[in-house]
Amino acid sequence: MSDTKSGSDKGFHRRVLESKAGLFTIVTTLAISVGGIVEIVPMFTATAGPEQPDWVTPYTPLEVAGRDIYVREGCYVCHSQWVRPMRAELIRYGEWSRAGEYRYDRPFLLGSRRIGPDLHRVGGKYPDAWHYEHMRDPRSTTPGSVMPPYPWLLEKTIDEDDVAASVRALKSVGTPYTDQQLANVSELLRVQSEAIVQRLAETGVQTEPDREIVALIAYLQRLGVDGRRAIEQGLTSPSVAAPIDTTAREENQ
Amino acid sequence: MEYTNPTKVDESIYDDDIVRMFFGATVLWGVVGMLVGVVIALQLAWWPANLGLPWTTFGRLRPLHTNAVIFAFAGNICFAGIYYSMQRLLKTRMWSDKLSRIHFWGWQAIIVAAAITLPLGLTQSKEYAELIWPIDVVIAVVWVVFAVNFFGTLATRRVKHIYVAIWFYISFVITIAVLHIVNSLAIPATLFRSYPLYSGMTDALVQWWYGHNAVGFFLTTPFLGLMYYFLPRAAERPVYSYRLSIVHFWALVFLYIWTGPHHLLYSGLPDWAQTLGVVFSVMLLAPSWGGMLNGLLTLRGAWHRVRTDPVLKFFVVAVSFYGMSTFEGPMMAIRAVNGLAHFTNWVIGHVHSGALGWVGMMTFGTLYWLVPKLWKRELAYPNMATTHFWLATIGIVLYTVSMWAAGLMEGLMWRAVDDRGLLANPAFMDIVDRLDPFYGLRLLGGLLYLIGAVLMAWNLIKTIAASRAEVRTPSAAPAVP
Amino acid sequence: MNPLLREAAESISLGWLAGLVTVFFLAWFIGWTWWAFSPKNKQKFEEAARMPLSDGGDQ
Repeated sequence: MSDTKSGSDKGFHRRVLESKAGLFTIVTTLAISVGGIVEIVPMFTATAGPEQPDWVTPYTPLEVAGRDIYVREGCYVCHSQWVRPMRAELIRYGEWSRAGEYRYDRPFLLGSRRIGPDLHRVGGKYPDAWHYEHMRDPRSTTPGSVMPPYPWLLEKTIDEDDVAASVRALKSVGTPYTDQQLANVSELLRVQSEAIVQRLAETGVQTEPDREIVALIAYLQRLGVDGRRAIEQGLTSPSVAAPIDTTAREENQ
Repeated sequence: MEYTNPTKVDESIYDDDIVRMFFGATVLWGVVGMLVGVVIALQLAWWPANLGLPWTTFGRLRPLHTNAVIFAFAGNICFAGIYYSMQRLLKTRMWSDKLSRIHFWGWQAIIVAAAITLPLGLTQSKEYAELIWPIDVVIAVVWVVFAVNFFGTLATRRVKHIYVAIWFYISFVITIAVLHIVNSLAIPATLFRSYPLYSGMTDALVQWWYGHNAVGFFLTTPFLGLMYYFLPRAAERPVYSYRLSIVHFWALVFLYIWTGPHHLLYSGLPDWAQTLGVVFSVMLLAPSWGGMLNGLLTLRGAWHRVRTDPVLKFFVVAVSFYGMSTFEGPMMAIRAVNGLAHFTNWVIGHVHSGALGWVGMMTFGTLYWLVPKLWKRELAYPNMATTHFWLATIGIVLYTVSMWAAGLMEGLMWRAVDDRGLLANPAFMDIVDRLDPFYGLRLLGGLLYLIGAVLMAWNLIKTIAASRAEVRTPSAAPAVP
Repeated sequence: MNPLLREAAESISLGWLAGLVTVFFLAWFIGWTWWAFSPKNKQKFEEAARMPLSDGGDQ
């Protein structure tokens, strides 16, 4: 046997730490806590954490509903929302993603895999009807795509009470919605969704304002828009990557 | 505390029923999880395999695959191995049979809940922490039940020294509790939906602190514990260096927890945090290889047995893949390499060299070693175990090599710029198109691995059935061969 | 950012804490390694290493 009760060992480690499983466990807990505390706690401070800019605004109720659909369908499994400050990515996708742009992202949706392209600057890149057709049949807009079709988004409807519950929860966790916004979720939903339905109708696509596809389009068209505007207006730090020939970007898009 | 330090213990004092239960769950969920993996591999190679149904799309099934193989397959073998080895190393029965059973049935209920909610699209979207908040609460409760039973058993042990395998188990029990609770903090909006306490880059950091340490403390430390118990048992010789195991334990648990930010290089995460992630990831190579060398060198003088014993074959390949993926991991955490590899199939290849190679092969070896011990009956088809070994090994090689090649190609094609400063491959689809052959090879590799697992399931079921048929009459004497 | 979390984080002064913890774990690790490799413990560890091999009747 490894040792006996009458063993002569009086060593600190053996006597106190090892034979006392409790103390061993406490030191193990400390050892696994240090790294997390040192890395995570400063993230909540103004000096060491990510910037909290005021040029980014919370998602509208319709965009919240769209974001929930994005999460439900697992879009983040194949698409990142994270343009890295690298030459090729700036040409392909646009401005690199600033920390402050994610200020109201709960949960974060940076993603970890690009089976499809990055979506952080997809807002405004395509017309609403493109997204509609893309969800109905991805290969109608992108020949050869491996994305599955999502025809049920064109049929299923969003529930106002459900969206209101989401907005309330987001406010309680720290997103600064005003009481007025909270009281008018249904009106806010109606105005924004009808505008999208109107734009879709102009390109010959007929749908109803309460369809899930409308919420998802609202969310996708919002992606990266605040950040791009702030960058154009010089409200945020400039690109750190090598200077880009801007003509290259136009030709490629 | 009184330690009697018995040298010989009647085996009947141990609760092996609970080990058999977790053993069975491992085999069942292993096959299911791998099958889902093969299905989603097919979906990438051939999109109609998404079946046009909301519940079967890649975006919903991939989390089902990762959760099934991590928490159901790997989780159940960890528990089986811990319940088996802990009782024997401490020479005592588990503290509470009732808690053991609550742990078992609670854990299986969580798995079933995951298998229902994930295809329904009920998810929190955080990788390996997708399950919705009510399930998260149940996980926390079941984990506390397990922890109470675990520490209760430690407190009532009959030997003084706690063998190193149990140190690794302790770090598993503690760390998973901390990670799960901190990463899951959220405010519910409805029964099925919640929003995390953290936002944006902070949420991302907390998630990857969790995510990488799920690899570290769910797929590494408990498996190192299994290695330190089952490898010496199978090789019938003590671990090569007990001292090395002591040193690398502390280094591993201390360093691992810092490495999460390497999942967020070149992101908006503050530079200081990115740098910490890189530095600690590189340092982690040392204790990881300490464990690998200790495992391989334990076989000194027993290598001739590797040729004939399938259990040792599985262990050798497992430890080798552990060494390989823990070398590759720190490499990929270096900024320049990460810039190329991130977002590509290379990461998928890396993960699977650890998952199929280290976790899977350790599990298979442990199952094959345990079955004659638990059911007092030799393996029904020993040659089939060797066939399984070769199918799995070839499967892993096809899988990892095809994904490395695909990832490298993606990384290089995405970033290629011609001499005019334009993208060499401006259409993303051109790159997607060229992945088909690699996806096909990967599918083949995964399929071989799955077939191997099915053969194993068949082999184990036949062994157990034969044992049951034989021992219809209960024997009063404790089963000592 | 959640104002409560922010307030809690701001109130923690991490500098001295990080220093203290670093020194503690460095000392811990050196002490532990020294203990592991000290010759007088050699015998004990060889015995401990045999623990999985001596656990009753199922060998």
